[in-house]
This record gives sequence, structure tokens and C-alpha cells, in this order.
Amino acid sequence: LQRDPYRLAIGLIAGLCLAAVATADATHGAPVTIVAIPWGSARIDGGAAFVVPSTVVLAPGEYRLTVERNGFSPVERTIRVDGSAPQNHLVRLDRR
Amino acid sequence: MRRYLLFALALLCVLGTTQFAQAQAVTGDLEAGIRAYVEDGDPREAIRQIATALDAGEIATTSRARAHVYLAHAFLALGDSLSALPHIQSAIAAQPCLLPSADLAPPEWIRMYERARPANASCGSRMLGAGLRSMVVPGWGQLSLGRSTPSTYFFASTVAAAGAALFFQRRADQRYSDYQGSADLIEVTTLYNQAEGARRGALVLGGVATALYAWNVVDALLAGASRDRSIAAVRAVALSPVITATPAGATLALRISWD
Repeated sequence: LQRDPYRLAIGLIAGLCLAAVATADATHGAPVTIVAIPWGSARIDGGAAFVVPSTVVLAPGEYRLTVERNGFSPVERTIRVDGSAPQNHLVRLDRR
Repeated sequence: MRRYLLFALALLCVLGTTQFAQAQAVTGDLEAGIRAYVEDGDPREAIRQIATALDAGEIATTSRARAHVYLAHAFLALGDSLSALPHIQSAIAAQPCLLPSADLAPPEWIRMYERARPANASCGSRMLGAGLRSMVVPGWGQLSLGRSTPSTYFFASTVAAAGAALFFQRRADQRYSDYQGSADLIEVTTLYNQAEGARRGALVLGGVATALYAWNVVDALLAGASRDRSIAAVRAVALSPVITATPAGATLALRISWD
């Protein structure tokens, strides 16, 4: 190692880069497509509302999805995001 | 002459069946794609299946518009507006007055259709136009509203019933003519009974054809009215009061939204 400090530095930098990419990929999460029929307004873990059908990117974990619309019974379900594979969730809203 | 007519009819049936089988294969992919979106909530699979159906060609104008609508919806559900826009434009090009169901498409998507529509497109009430079309040709009104399946059924059943009624009426006329020209007592009775039977058949089938025709017109009017209601719901202006608390008290505003 003392004879080749450059090789050691390159090895360290490459290792750090790989670790950074792996961490970024894991935290970036998976695209989750929520298709609501009829369309509605969704919240994830009670956060900001957004119109569905649409796609959001979620980090691995468990989330509470709520979809609602005036005149329809709200739907609440738990979704589990495992890895980086895209997921689809169909939500059917029934009239009250 | 009769032989040639029968041969032509048989040829038409064979050609029609072949065309129908081809159309069914293409429609199969299209319907599978639509089901993938509507029943499974899988836009990626929907895109794959519907694109296959479109690539295969041979899709009727109304089905092509429908295919582009669902492709656009699948892309929009994936957040890909850039890929969705050409399909909205293609759908509007196929059917300038097309508007997706207000239940399936959020207002923002419907606005994309409104923006893609040519300024000179005349898209007033669909009810009267659909009713008048179906009065002229059974099923035409339904077809203009994008309902190709009921359109086919109404056209085929009304034409078949009317054709059969005409056939029986001609047979009755023929038998009456034979009956009047016959001198054989036994044959006279038989010919008279046959003529009466054919006349009754013509009356029943004529009644069925008339009922189907009336049903077809009423169905086109109702479907047109339903489409008008969905457009009105999308284009309605909503007024809602907005009350905001401020350090000095509260402000009251009126929010006007095109929703």
C-alpha cells in the first residue's frame, strides 16, 4: 500500500461512489401509479393532496393512501413499497 | 337471377365474416389494453396492448379514437404528458367533438382535449344530431357518439327484421297472385293459407322492425343527452366562497373555477 498510494486512493473513491449510488437508489424509491376510477384526490400519510390517476415516487416503506371525492365514499388503504420495481394501485370509488 | 343473388349474398357473408374475425382480433388487443387500465390499474400493460392494436391497423375510426384516449390516459397516469399529447391530438383528429367521460378524466385532462380541439370544430348539443342520424340510418347516431357495439346491433337487427318482413310480404303477394290464378280447388285452399301465413309473418316482422327502429332513435337521443350532461358538468363554472383569517379580522372572497 505504501508503494502505490494512487491505487489505494482510486480504490477508495470507487468504493465511495458505489456506496453513494446504492444509497441514492435505495432512498429514491419506486414509482407508484395510483389509478382511481372515477378520478379523485389522494393523500399519502395525510400529506398534500394530489389528483389521481397519477404516479408518485416513494421510498421503500409502508404508507397510508387515502383517496376521496365529493359524493363518493373515501377509500383508505395501506400500501407497501418494497424496492425499485414500479407498482400499480387501482382504487374504485363508490357513490354514497 | 335468384341463384346469382344467393351467390352474391353468400359471398358477402363470407367476406363479412372474415373481416369481422380480423376486426375481432385487433379489438381483442384493444379491449385487453383498456381492461388493463380500467380493471387492473396497470397503465404500462395498457400502453403495450393498445399500441399493439393500433400498430395492427384495421381499427374503425371510433375505436381508433377510443384507443388513443386510453393511451393518453395511461401516459397521463404515469405522469408523462409529453407522450400523452400526441394521442389526445390523434383522438381529436379522429373525432373532433370527442370528450372523455368526466368520471375517468380529471378536469386538467379534459382541458387538454379542449385545447387540442380545432377552434372551428362545431360541438354543440349531441342529442338532436344523434337522434336525427339514427332516424336516417339505424345505429348511425350511436356510432357518432363512439358507441360502435350498440350501433352495429341496432343497424343489423333493424335491417334484418325489415328485410325479413319485406321477404314475407313478397311471398304473400306471390301466393295471392297464384291463388287468384288457380282453378284447382285443393290448391286454392293451400295457396290461400300460405298467403295468409306469409302476410301474418310480414306483419309481425314489420312490427319488430318498427319497434327496433323506434328503440334505436330513443337510445340515440338518450345517449346524446347523457353526453351533453357530462360535457356540461365539465364545463360548469363553480363559485365557492373563500374565507381567510387575517390579523385585522377576516376576508371574504369568491373563487370562480372552471371545473
